[in-house]
Amino acid sequence: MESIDKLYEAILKGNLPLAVEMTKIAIEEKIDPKSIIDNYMSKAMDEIGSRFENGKAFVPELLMSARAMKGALELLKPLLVDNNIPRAGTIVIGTVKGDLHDIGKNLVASMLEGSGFEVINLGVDISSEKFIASVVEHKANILCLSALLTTTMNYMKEVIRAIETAGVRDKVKIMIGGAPINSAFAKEIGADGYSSNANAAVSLAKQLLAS
Amino acid sequence: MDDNSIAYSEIELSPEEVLNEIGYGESHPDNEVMDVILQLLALLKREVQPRYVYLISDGRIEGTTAVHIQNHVLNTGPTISRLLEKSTSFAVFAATAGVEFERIIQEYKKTEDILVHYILDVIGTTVVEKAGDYLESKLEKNFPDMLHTHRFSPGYCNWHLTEQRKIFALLGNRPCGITLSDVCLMHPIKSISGIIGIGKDVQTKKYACQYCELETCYKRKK
Repeated sequence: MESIDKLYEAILKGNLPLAVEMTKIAIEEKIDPKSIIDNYMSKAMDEIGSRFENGKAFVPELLMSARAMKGALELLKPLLVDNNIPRAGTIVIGTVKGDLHDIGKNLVASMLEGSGFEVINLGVDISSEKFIASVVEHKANILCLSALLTTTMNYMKEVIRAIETAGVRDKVKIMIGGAPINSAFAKEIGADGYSSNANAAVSLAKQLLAS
Repeated sequence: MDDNSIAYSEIELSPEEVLNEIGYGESHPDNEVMDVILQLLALLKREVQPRYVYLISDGRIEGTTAVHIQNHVLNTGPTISRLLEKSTSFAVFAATAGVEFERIIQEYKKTEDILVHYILDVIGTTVVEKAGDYLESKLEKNFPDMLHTHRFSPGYCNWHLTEQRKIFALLGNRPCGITLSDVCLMHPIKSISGIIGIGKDVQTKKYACQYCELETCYKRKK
């Protein structure tokens, strides 16, 4: 059982090789995969998220923890499927048409993956048609839209209208983010939520799926 | 028009500056974070070539929301117009971390290591802002008897991003090799453009954050 305590520490400290090694041992010891995730891995992510919110950890530490968590989760994926344990949810994410900024969107994608979501990262310069096709294909629970320019943020509204027209708006929650975005804009265009950073995006995604 | 390369040694970044931009303050990063920063800074020293260009022109503030320069009316909005008050001439500028930096970004994107991508992004932003500082220092050297305002860019303080086209037209449409997409995204992506007011009585106030609604702006005073 020592491995499982070290797994918590490995993810908290963002140590990918150690997280992978400890997860392998935990699997060999036949520890319930859901328990590994819920009681150790997710708790480590919650702790690093809390440290970030309190100014005791910074974006690099968040990313390192997410990277370690993702590496460990990869090993557990087959067991989750075998045991019919559902993932946290499926999320389609992309930067809207005309905009090529991707670092903020990729930070959010990494944190969501590290928090157990299945993430389909479409990249940058994504049209409403591509967003809709991906949401339908992957039966996504959440769609995340990103824009960094005041000239491209309005395309988010077009995506939401297109999703309504396609008849899938009631099947998917929509989150938006990016430097010029705020919660008033999210409300104005009919998004379900806005987050200002990658850690807050994870909390919002969990909140939207619980509602 | 003054169009120049900047020797990287003139604006060389220290690891402490990068840590400060990330937000560490007095805190210490993990060893891996520090290693990545040192490795990337060593690469920059070998390969990066920032550039800047500026055009000095007479001009006048029109009403409370615009600046007239040559045959262009820049609709800077009330906040920036106020900060440019008493300018007797203007420097229209662009600066970039350079095509070499863009190439490094594209190369590292293949690695899929989000930690490296993030730190490289922070470094790129810092490099281009230091190129902007360097440009201002050149202005001070060339106009020793004048004061100048801070630099202001389309996209901030309600100066619409599409106005960037006028800046580019004044600078010959491809300043420092920077191109503008149809939504006014600059390429290389780590580039800046804008205006600086020059005069004997101008204010040297920074962005007036109290008037701006962009709460997530990275230039917002902490």
